Amino acid sequence: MSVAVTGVAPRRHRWRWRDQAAVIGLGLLALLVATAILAPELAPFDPTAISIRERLRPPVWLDGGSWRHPFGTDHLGRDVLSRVIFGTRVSLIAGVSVVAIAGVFGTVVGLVAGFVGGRFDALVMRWVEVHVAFPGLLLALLIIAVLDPSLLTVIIALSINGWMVFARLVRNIVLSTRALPYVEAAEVIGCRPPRVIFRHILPNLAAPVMTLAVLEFARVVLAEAALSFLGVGIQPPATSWGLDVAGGRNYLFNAWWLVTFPGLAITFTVLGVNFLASWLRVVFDPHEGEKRFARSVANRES
Amino acid sequence: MNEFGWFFVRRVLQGAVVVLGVTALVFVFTRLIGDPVAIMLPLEATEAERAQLRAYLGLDRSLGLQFLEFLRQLTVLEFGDSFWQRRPNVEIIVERLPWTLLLVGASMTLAVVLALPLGTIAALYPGRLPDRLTSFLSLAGLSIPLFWLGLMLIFLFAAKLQWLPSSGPGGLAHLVLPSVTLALPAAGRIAMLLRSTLIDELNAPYVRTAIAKGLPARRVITVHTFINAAVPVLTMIGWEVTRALAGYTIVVETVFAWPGLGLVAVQAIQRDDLVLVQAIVFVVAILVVAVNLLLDVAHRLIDPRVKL
Amino acid sequence: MSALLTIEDLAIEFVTRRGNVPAVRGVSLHVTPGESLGLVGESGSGKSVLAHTVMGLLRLPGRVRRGQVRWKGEALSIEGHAGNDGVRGRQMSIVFQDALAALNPLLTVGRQIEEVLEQHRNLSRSAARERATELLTLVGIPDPALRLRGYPHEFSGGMRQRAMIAMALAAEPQLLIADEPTTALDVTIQAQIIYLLRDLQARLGLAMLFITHDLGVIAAMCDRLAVIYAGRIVESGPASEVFARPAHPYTMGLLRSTPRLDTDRERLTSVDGSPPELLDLPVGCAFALRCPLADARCRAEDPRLNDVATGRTAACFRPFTPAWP
Repeated sequence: MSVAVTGVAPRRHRWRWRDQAAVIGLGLLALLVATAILAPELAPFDPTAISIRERLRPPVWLDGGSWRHPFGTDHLGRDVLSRVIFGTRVSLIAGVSVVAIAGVFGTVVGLVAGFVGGRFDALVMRWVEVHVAFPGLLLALLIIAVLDPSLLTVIIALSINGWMVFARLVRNIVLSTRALPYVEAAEVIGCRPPRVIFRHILPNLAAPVMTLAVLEFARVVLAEAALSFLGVGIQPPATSWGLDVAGGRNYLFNAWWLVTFPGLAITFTVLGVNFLASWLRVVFDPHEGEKRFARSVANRES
Repeated sequence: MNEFGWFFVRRVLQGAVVVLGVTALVFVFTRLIGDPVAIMLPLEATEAERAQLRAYLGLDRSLGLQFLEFLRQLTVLEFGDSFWQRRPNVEIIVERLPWTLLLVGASMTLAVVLALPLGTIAALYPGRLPDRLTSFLSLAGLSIPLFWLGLMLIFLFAAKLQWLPSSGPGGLAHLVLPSVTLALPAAGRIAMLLRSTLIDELNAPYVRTAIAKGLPARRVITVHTFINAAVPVLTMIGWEVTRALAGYTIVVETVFAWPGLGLVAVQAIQRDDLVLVQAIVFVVAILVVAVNLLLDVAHRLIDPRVKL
Repeated sequence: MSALLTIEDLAIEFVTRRGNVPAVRGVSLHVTPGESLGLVGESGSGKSVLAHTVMGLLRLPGRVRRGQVRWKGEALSIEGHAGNDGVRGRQMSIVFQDALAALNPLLTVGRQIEEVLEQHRNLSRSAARERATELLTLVGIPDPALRLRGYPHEFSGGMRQRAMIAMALAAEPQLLIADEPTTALDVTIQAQIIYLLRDLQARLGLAMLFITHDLGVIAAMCDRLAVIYAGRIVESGPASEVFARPAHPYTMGLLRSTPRLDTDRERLTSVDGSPPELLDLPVGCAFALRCPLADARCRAEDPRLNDVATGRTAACFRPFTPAWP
């Protein structure tokens, strides 16, 4: 339908606190970062301190629970709350490092592939295709099997698994941006490649790459947890939410809190990140915002 | 041969390239980055034992020869013997694969059966209950770790309500929890995609034409919109199937002690049985390629604009 | 003669985050049987929105603020999903601008024509196929039996538009709305489609609402003409009279910018400026900013559509005053 808003200049998205998703997402993430940094201050106990006398204490609101261990204790008497707090660090470190490594490497590969084109581009894209066609944990498992499990190995394995999506996105944007008349014009009048990249192409890349990075962060947090749960990620005595869920698994029937709290921590972290990503999409895409507005009007009227 | 035959042959060849690529990846990771002998043998193994294993695995030859031999063995499905189970890897795979296929088949069927009505109703009545349910499911599907979802379902339905067995292989009752665990998040993601695709398609000019032709709304949706939404939704379903095969089943099978390929892969890694892991990766790669091939064919059948 | 289609004081707006955009601001029109009415205006003037609303295709963010659409005196539903009422698609049908987008890409052209026949003429599948073949022949598509099995992307632009017209005629409607049917086509093809439509109109006794931005097309096609500007009719009357002696300065401007063979004018000129921003309309006449005749009154007061001669109306305080040299 030809929407008759001719002559109305597009206006930038206004920051509105009504964007609840963003507020929730940012709030959860701020909480996550603060918890990770202040973990030693916040945690009531050393997360690795074993206390056989205080094994399997339930959370505070159940019979036998106390404020000493608000989330209860595990089979070795370790404080669940402290372990959840310290687990934040691993998730954050893994997420940030993988997104940084895979994002930078993938972006560079994508830029070069999009700019150089030709045989290099064909080769890289074929490789990306192969890699993308084979998704999932299996490859990460194989890499870890070769390298021995540790946080570093997890980061390497997930980075190897994650750079292609960035490369493909960036390459496609470079190609479509270069086809835009004003960029073509810049190239024709003799702007050097670095200038073209910095002045014309990078600004177009920022929004989609940032959105992808946020989504990838969520994926990495989940993948690290899954690997640690499988016993091929973070190794004891280090703490990780996935590892704690695996440890509490055998006590599921009589001490549910061991599995529940670290699992909730993962869920809320990823939920916050996803909220942020969906908000970013609206901020970067005026059409999406307009669509949502129309839908909200429709809902109000029906 | 007709156009379609050539299309098929080309896609099979492209699939073969992908399998070759994955094989090369596996080869690079296992032979170049790691030392299979060091991984597979205990630290106290003697030099003679190491040399023997090296010769057995063909590691004493040049890398090129090793890769060719590696390929030759894979193409004739000669996967070698499992160190851990002391029997041919083929045997293990043939034994475990049906379990994984059963789990993936059941869960994906369930996911599609849930997602189609949910996504459709959500698209037609935005803001109503099915729409909210779809959003919730898809958000949950994106945010809840599978292993935790599985454990929570066990806690609820096996420990508390005692309706279903908690884990292990067995009859239909044993299949319920693992397939629901795999299906729920997938259903949420498929329904969400169907919803947004349908909303876009319902605003497409050709739908406007169909309405202007005075066709009943039901016909506009079922005939005109569904066929156009089918391609992205099928692609998504295929993507879910491949991800389930190459990732999610590993987690779910571990949680539910489901005796499929994923469980055996994790166990093989824990026992440093690299040869078995390689064989599994190769088989899964072929499965993934086969699913993608099916998708391409389906895509071509639905959309005549796809280039041959 | 009583009118087939009557539009009464129709006002349509689009809801956006920046406010409600009035796309159509109180339009009244009618089309009588067998007559051809041309509706001409610039892009964004509201002419296509009007056509879509008549066909029951208006959806959010667009909505009707007031007014009615009547078919032979009966009010038609114009809110939300309003098709399938025995009028839309049956007694009046529409040809869209971009046939490639307007046809379903995944169904054969034959299927898309046949479903109209099955729906509205109660034909069986085989009878529908036979009739569809005749329809393709009627609109001048060679080798119709083969083309019916083809998909829209396999047709050329002109052939696609012919197929679209065949589809619109399948239900044997009394009124055909043509929404810029030639805009997306090459000039030579445009002429062919115009001739086809004119020929079909005469042969089938069709009434037609022809929407375009091209006055030349109206001259070839239409008995009567209405000019729409910023969501309002600013002039209407018999096409030949309006062309001979336009009443509204905007119509004069449009005529000046249309190439003609029957006068030896030396230069083509355009109407300076651009249409007003609909979100922020001036108090007075919407055309005042671009009008060489505009005075204080034009800028303060909005002229109504008044009779200016027999069968002619214009919304101007000084109709027929030459506005351009």
